[in-house]
Amino acid sequence: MSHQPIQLRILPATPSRTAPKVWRSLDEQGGRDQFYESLYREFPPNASELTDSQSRRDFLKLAGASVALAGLASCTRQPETRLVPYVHPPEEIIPGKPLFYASCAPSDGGRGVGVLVESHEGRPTKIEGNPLHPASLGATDAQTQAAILDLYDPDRSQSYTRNGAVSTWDGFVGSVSPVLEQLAADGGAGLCILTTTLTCPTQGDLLQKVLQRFPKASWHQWSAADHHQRRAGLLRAYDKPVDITYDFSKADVIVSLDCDFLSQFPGALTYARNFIDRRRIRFDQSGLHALNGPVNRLYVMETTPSLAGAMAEHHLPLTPSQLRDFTFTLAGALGVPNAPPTAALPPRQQAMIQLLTQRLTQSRGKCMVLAGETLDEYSHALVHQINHHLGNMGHTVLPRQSVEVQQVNQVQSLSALVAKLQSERCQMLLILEGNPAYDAPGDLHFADVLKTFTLSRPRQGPPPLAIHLSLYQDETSFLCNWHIPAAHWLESWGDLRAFDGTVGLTQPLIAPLYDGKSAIDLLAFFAGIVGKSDYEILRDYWKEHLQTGDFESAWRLALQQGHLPNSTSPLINDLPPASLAAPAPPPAPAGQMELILRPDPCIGDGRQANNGWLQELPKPLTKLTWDNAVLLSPADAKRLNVENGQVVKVAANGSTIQGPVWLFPGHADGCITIHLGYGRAKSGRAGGDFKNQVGFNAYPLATTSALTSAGPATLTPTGQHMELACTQLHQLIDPKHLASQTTNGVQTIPDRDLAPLEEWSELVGKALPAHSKPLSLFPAPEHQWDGHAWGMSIDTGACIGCNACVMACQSENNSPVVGKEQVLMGRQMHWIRIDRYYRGDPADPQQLRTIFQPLMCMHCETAPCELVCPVAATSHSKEGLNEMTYNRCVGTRYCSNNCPYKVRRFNFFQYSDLNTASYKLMHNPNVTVRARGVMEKCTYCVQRINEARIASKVSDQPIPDGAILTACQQVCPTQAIVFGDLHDPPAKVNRLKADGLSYAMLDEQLNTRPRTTYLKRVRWADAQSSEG
Amino acid sequence: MSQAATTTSPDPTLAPGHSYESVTDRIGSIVLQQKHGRNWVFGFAIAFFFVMVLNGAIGYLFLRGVGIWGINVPVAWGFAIVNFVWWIGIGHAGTLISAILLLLRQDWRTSINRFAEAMTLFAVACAGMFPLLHMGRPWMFYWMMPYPDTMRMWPQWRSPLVWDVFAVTTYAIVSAMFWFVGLIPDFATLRDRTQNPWLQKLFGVLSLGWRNSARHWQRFHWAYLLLAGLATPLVVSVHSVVAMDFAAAQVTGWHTTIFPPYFVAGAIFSGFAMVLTLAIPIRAAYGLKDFITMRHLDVMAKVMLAMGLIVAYGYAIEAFMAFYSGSPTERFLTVNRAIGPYWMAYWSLILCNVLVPQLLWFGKIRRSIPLLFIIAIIVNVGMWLERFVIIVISLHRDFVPSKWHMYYPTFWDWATLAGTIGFFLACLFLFARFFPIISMFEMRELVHETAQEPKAHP
Repeated sequence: MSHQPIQLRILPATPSRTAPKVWRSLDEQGGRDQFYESLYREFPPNASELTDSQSRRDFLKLAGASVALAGLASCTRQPETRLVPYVHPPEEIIPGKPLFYASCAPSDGGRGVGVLVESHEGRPTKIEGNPLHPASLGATDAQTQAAILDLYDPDRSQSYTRNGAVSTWDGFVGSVSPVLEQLAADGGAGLCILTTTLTCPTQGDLLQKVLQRFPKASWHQWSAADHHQRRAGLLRAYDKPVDITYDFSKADVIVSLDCDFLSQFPGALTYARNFIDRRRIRFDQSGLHALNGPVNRLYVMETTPSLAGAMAEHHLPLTPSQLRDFTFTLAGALGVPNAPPTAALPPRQQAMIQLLTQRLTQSRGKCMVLAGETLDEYSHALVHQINHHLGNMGHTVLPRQSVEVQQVNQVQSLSALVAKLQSERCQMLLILEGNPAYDAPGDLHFADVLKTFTLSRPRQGPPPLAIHLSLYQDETSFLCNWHIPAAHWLESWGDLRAFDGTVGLTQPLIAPLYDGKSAIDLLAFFAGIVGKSDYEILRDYWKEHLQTGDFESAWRLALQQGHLPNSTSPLINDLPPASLAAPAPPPAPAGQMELILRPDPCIGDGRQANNGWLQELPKPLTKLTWDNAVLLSPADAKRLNVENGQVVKVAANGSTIQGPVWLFPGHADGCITIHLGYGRAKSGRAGGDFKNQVGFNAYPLATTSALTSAGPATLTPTGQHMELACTQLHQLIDPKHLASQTTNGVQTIPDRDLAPLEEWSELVGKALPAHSKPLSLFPAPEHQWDGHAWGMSIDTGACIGCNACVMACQSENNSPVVGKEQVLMGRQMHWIRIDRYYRGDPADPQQLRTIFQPLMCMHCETAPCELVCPVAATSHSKEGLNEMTYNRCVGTRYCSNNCPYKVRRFNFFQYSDLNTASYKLMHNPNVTVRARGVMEKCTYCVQRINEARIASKVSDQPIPDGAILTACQQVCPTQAIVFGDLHDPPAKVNRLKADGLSYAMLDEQLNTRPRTTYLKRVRWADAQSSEG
Repeated sequence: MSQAATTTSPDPTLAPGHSYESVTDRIGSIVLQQKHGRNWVFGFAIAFFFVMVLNGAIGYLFLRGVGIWGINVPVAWGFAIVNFVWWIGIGHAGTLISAILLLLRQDWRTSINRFAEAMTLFAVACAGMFPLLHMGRPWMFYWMMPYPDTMRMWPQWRSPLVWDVFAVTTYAIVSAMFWFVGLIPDFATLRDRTQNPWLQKLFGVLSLGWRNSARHWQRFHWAYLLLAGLATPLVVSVHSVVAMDFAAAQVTGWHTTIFPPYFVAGAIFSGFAMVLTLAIPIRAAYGLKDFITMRHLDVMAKVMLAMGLIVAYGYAIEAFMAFYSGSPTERFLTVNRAIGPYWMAYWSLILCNVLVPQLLWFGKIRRSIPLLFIIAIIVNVGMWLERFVIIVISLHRDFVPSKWHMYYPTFWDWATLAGTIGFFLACLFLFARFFPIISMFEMRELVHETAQEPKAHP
């Protein structure tokens, strides 16, 4: 590592817990930090460690020793087992033909997203969206797709442990059962159960059974960064479990108050589709037409720039406290009864209030106002009131019965658990997934409390017991007595409600790799259910609850489709307007920076921290990989005199952390954003551990009263500097500039027709541009190829920059992870990248426009790469594919130099992991795993084209349009990517290419004639309407 | 004879007072009589150390892959190709001196052609390493050659890299032949003069049965002339083809029709600089000031100046065309060269290759040996920088700004460069010790000629 790893305190300086009665050392008794450090460290200081590749020699020495000992181990006689070959293979398995199973993935805080999992000979290899599932519509997000890497992660917990020693399930049952009997005797008063947000009906039912067996037991919930303000606001407004979904297809005007409904939001995939569907346009001879009703308008007030903000016509950067005032003023301006009074706003905000008031009142019942996590629960309730007032309830804003098993204020729930643990009223703690020792708010000191709990020895009764079910041996597992390896959702049965309540069924694709148990298994054990598998429990539950005549066929259909029909949560039509009590007192006075803590856009709240795919996925807007950072606006950075990569101390809520600064154009002045999920003390090779931390942990800054908008913070620059691996600098397209300049972290680049943004007003009345004929010195050949001619069209107007395509490509095409150092050197291996450009003045973030442009191999007809390859390793197929023959490549890299789009990727080292056994199962068998020294790039998913070709030959039918979906196209939530045959006139891709907004990147300059073309993004001016 | 070099004026190509015998003695004795001097051992040890550095760098490269260098995905070619072009360029002066000047009957070439040719050969060896080393899978290098394989795969003839393979191998073969043929009479002289029976046998084999007969001489002269004719087009063609590696690509800053002539001029420029860099220490170390006289140094400095002016014209026209063409990317590239992140490299190049050589207009500077030596070294550095500017600056910011990235050489980049310089010097040390570094028979001819017509044309 080229930078100094920053040592962070994961525990506060003054833990507010009582000294343990029984202690192992004086340090522990005195609460000295070194003790906790050593607790988290696997080895004591000065013990020899295999830390890094530097100590290869040590590793080899030890490897030699273990090989020597392996000989001794083999002296043990192995139990006899029978191996049965496939004499009569299962009916549906044809070697080489993948099968797809419908399943349901816990996405965004445990809500289900329907998926189709590709399985090759019993090995799940890729996760795709399930078009039949209402929360997917065929799309998936990057995190869900990356779950396949979690499944095969060699760092996953592989054994049961009891106080650190390896054990078994039987050992667990044998040791815990008598304690449970004892607990049951007095009603289970000492039993506490902590789950994450629970939307699984079967698990809910089992929990009820556990609570029947232990009536005095308590159930708590905690999912970090899971829309706590939203939940609290709903509870406050309606005082009963209510959930709200939105119908973007009916909304003309959308006002988002720091709510990024396009990512990390329940239902984001569906919302993104519906939102973009209302923006689909066509530009032909007769002008610009909206295809699905008038084009909607999006107004975003935001603290941290978000994907929604990048799509907005108008966006206004505000700090959390300004946003609160803005919300109150907006409510007042709209005439919401009981709207709290506020002082006058600055003119810019006032102008926005006027504009919004006008737009919203004009479209009553066809608009919506959304509230995000930086708003407090009172403002959330007020926003519900606004929607009531505007008549949106039941039209665009749909209240439903809550999809959660029990909708509670999780902050209070966790606080109650902490109180119980401290008061010795708890004897046994069962933690079902989740990692509260890492991600609980800092002021709860959960790790200390848990440790004190497990080490305490009460005078009466058995010693306390903490049990943790988890995919990884993480921070919480380490502090618990028992760790039970969890079965991944791809290894177990289950059910999950989607954002709208639809019940999806989770089917295992593979038997548990490491003998893990699912939450259902563990709850069944606690409920005293013996001898039933998770499948039987699930099936029995639905047999009981599914009102249908023929259960068997309904069940089979549900398994095939991945969800139960008609299981959507019922709408609540007669919801009375929210009742509003007085607002909470305003937050602490301004003057310092306001702190915002958000889940990371890639690794979320940290549960996927050990996922290399997600770690290396550039964050949509900052394009950072492998790190989080203290994000602030260029103006603030100038004021504080800090620059990119400079390490600062951030003090807030009594805790201090250190992290590098990253300048973020468009960020509101006066506040900083830190992404959560990094700085894990015990994760794995990708997620880091206490010694080699990846990023820094910001959870200590969060408090129970300030989770997302975490109050005032002070920044103190340190002298340290840290290199951050960013795949694209902040680049501002400016036609006026010839030279590239970098000011305030923003690089000005010349305008080269890269990702044009067209003004709506300019397009009105503009004639359709004549599509130029290809330039050539040679006469057109007499014989024209009339077979397939593959081509692609990408709609930059629909691209929300969500990264789903990048992940799909990585998973489909076996792209390796290269690590931070290689990214720093510019060697990331993604075949598709999403370029992000800005337009406008960075000093005026309100006018800054963000544009995304997905870029992969263009499959140029006059491909510059093909000309220069000395060994013909890259060549043109008859169907227009620019093909890469890995076997023939000698690695001169001349093709990459000559590619004007720079979409070729080179294996500078042996990047693909060919040795880890579990990864061998993961790879797509239809795509070569590349070796060192060869070039690679997007193939238009040639393996999928060939599959469709074979199918068409077998059935003797032509390949229908839409039969071939490239991996990136398939998962795109907004269907921005369209692939098809250019020689098939009715194909959709041809209609898009004939559109007046279509352009070929750099073609005018270089005559490359790329097969991939783009549709320009239209910027909708506010004043004009767009009826068409 | 030490006083001879300084007394006469105008500078002769051979100090007066030399006979056939003295010339042969003086040059032949370096091989046959002198012991390994302390300086030689010391110099060779340093060079050999760098040969070992090269071995290490190559070994690690083969073990890990080209990722040990600083290259990345906009800058996929880095030091390896910079060094390749630089070394190939250096070689050019040798061929120019031996072939073209032979055909033009420039008598001053005689005393420097032998080691200039050797320099060519060693420079080509250094250059030839890089295209192989920079490949991702160097063990597949033979796929660049046409050979009858079962898949009937031939190289892809449109690629300039294939032309390169032919150009460089042809160049290496012709240079080696030319060098060896020129050595035959001298090997015979050494065979006849050595007392050591082993060396007699060795030189006997190498001299291919040369008996000094008139028929031998007549055939020898024809063969030598024909080889010179064969080598002459190579002076132009090899570096033109190397230039084509860039000109045929469409990278802004590479895609320029001026490249072939401008590369050839640059090659000769750097080649003469390298000849001077080597000639000045050699004539001092082995007391060859009678044979490599001030006249030689003066003429070479003049050639360097002329080539430097052509190269400067190339730079000027490149910048002018960028603006005249109206192409925004060309303009951007030119501005980016001057004020972009690698501005230091660009302005150092202008200093080394355009400004410093202007000092050679002054006769006093041309005759000042230390100054000439320093200028020659500066020009060598400048020409290396020129290739760096062309390759790295053009690539690091090209058409799509999202993929702009800096290139920073790593330790292994520098180790490989230093290693090839060490290899080159080690070869020269061995050559100087075991071969006649000045052509004895041609010097004897020169003695004959200078005796006949004392005022040879310049």
